Amino acid sequence: MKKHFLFILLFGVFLSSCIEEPEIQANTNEGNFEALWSIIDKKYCYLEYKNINWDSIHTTYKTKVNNKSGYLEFYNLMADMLAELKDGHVNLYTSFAVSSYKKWYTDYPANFSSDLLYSERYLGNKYYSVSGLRYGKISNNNIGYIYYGDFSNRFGDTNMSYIFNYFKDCKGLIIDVRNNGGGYLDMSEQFASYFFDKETITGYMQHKTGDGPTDFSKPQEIKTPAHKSLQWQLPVVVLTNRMSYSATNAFVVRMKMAPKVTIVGDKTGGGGGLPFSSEIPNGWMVRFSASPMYDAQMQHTEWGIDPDIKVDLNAADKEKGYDTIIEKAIEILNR
Amino acid sequence: MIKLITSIGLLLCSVSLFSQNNDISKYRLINTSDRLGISRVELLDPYLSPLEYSGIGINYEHTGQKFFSTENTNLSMERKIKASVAYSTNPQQTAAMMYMGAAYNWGMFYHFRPASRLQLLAGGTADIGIGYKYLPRNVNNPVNVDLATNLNIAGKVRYDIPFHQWPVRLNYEIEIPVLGYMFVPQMGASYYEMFELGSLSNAFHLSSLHNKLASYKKLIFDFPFKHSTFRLGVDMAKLKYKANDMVFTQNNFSLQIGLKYDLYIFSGRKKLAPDNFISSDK
Repeated sequence: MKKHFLFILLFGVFLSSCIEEPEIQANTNEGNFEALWSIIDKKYCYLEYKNINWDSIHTTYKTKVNNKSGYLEFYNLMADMLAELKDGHVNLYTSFAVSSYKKWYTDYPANFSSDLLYSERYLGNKYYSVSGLRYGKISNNNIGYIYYGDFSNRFGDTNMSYIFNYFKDCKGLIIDVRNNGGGYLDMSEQFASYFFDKETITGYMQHKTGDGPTDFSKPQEIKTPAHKSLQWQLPVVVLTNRMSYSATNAFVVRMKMAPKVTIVGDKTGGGGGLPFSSEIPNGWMVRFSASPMYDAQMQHTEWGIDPDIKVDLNAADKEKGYDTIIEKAIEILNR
Repeated sequence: MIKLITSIGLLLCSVSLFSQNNDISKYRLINTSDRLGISRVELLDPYLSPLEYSGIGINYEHTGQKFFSTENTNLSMERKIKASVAYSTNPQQTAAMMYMGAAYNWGMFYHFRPASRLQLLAGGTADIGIGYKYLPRNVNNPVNVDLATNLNIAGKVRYDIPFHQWPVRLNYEIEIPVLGYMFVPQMGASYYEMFELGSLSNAFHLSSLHNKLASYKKLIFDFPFKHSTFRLGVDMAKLKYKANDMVFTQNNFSLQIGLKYDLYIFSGRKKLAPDNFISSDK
């Protein structure tokens, strides 16, 4: 009986040891630094692609971490460490500040002017607005123009049906997604589906399957369907700049594969990694790129998408009240 | 032809009358219990956060048990419906996680009666459960769903404590899952990728004692009053499982109050069931 009891006890201990809970770091500056570094080390998806030596960054920053330093000093240090990733999808959220890396657009020309956009030559005051879509006819009512500034604004088929009907006599359509920092990924699929005539593989996606920098799942196809009842048949020009980011970047990746679509403007800002969230012992949240997305040729989209025709907003044109990028789009659609 | 139909009709009537006459002497009671509790909840879900969340919750459990037949008073079946909601926060209280869960459980028990006041029940149960965890602060991973089905071993001890003229019953119950199937997403797999793009690889896992350890224990006192039986007790649920290199835990400690009754209300001290009403509770 004693032997049986001992066996059951040992068996129970053995089973318990099979499932060990991970150790949680202490809520000190050192503990929070280790926790933050470890989250990025195990879950960030671009360490290998960006050739970042994260171990070296650990060495560099560990020497600067001091348990006696104040919360703001520690926050600044951690924000600097995360900025090494050069990723607009990486942020540290606290109750007093949110860190962000901005050089993906501040180091480039703006290529967008809302003053020009709302001047009489373009939208002026005679545009309509619904569910985040601002639209009107430009170039002597020959060209339809839609400005969509946020993929977090949801619109439906009914909205788009009315808009397409309004543009039915136009020669073509401009979709302006400059300064659109992203939003819902499913909206990028919905918006693009109006411009496809058949379901098309427009990209791929992976996710981390382990802690190693190269532990990724098999690429999963991202398909863009053709909308069942609403398909725009005329030429389309999509306008982009560096602030076309994240879900907007994903939209441009899809539109690159659409028939009758030309991308005009500057390279998009990128943001090809689907961001996830985690947190460290002091309760701060960290957002980071977790799942890399690729284009149809299995190329990373993290650094942005090149336009078909590169055009910058010319200072001289701006002086005259012309938006060089819109003018180029009008020229293409009037051909 | 009419004679034939009439004869068959009369024969069927006589058979059914005969059956009714035989069964009328015994009925199986469905012993039912409803309990409501307030609980201390601890949740660890690394898909949402590496930190353990803790808070309070409320839970409800409905149980119904009856013998399989009027002839065999050693084998009973039981079904349970459980539901719970909880609100929890991280240790620094900078983020909150909401939990909602429900489960259906069906089982069979063999009744041993080694002493006049003591019953031992041993058996097995099967359950299916779903839980929904929501951490709104997260960006693309704000939700995780617990979906699992289990085969469990289960046991109960019932002891009627002689307390003057007031027979208080002590109930102890334990349930341990031994085999099952569960949904656990990979650490980096977003619900967008899983359900919009259809990439569900490695999301469903066989569970057994090697990757899932759990015990659900109850200690309940039954106090029969004039017309009903009140229940007071504690629930202790501990669950730990591992899949896709993540360890999940869910612990509940619940104080519960409830009511026990039969389909026909014979519970309590004044309304004892007649002998032809067979109760799996006795």
